[in-house]
Amino acid sequence: MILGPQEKILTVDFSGEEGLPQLHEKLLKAIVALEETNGIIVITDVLGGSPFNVANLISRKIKPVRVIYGINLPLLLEILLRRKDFEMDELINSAISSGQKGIGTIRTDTREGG
Amino acid sequence: MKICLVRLDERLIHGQVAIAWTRVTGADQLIVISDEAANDEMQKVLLEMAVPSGTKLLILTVKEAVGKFKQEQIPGTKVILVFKKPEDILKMVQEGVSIPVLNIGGMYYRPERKQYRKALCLSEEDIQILNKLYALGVKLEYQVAPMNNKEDVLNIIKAR
Repeated sequence: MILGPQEKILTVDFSGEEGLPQLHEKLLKAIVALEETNGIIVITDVLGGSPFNVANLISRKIKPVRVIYGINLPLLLEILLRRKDFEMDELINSAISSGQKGIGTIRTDTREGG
Repeated sequence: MKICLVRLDERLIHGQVAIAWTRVTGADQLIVISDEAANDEMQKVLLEMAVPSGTKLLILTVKEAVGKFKQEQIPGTKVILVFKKPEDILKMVQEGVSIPVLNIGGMYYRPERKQYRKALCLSEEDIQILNKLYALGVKLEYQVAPMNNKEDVLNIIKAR
């Protein structure tokens, strides 16, 4: 919606009715389907969640796979916008930094009548 | 030391356990009891990484766990025990470890299992073990996450 169609990005659905072996298989299939040897980033929700745990295991066995947890839109946008220009470590650091800067709240004292 | 939750979950430490149950119970110590996990260096590394900060993790074989209980050497003040296999819980109880309530929230589908609830798939063998646990005084509750309602597991099975 913000950037328009993107290439080389897949989503893996996890229902919560599945065990780890099923999720592991689905994630591996997606990684293979990307046909990418330069590097693949798996982005998951929380540290310690099943998607994170499975991605962690895969990244230890398949070297080009890296993991970021704590997905949010600014983080994802940073990756999609910069992935052609940056080296892997640079891209990951930049994405995490964007993700961290991308959350906050509207302070009540800055609102009219607040 | 107080055992605040005994959980049967094939995913061991994941979102529901690492985040929801740990927060709600205020546990400071997670203990995974599984021969398979305790003898697998890779699994141990992964489990360590899945534990929230401020909570400690111990990974034990069933034999080690029984020993620690008998010698009253279980660390932590509020403890969550996590098992992967019902038979391991039965071994513990048969060795004299007291488990008044077992929380079941992660038994996933396999061809030999029948699905009773979202995360309650049981084989005939699993049911036999649960019946033995019940006979030994263990209350069996199905509750995936803290905000879900509790259901009596044997009633769920009987209703089929």
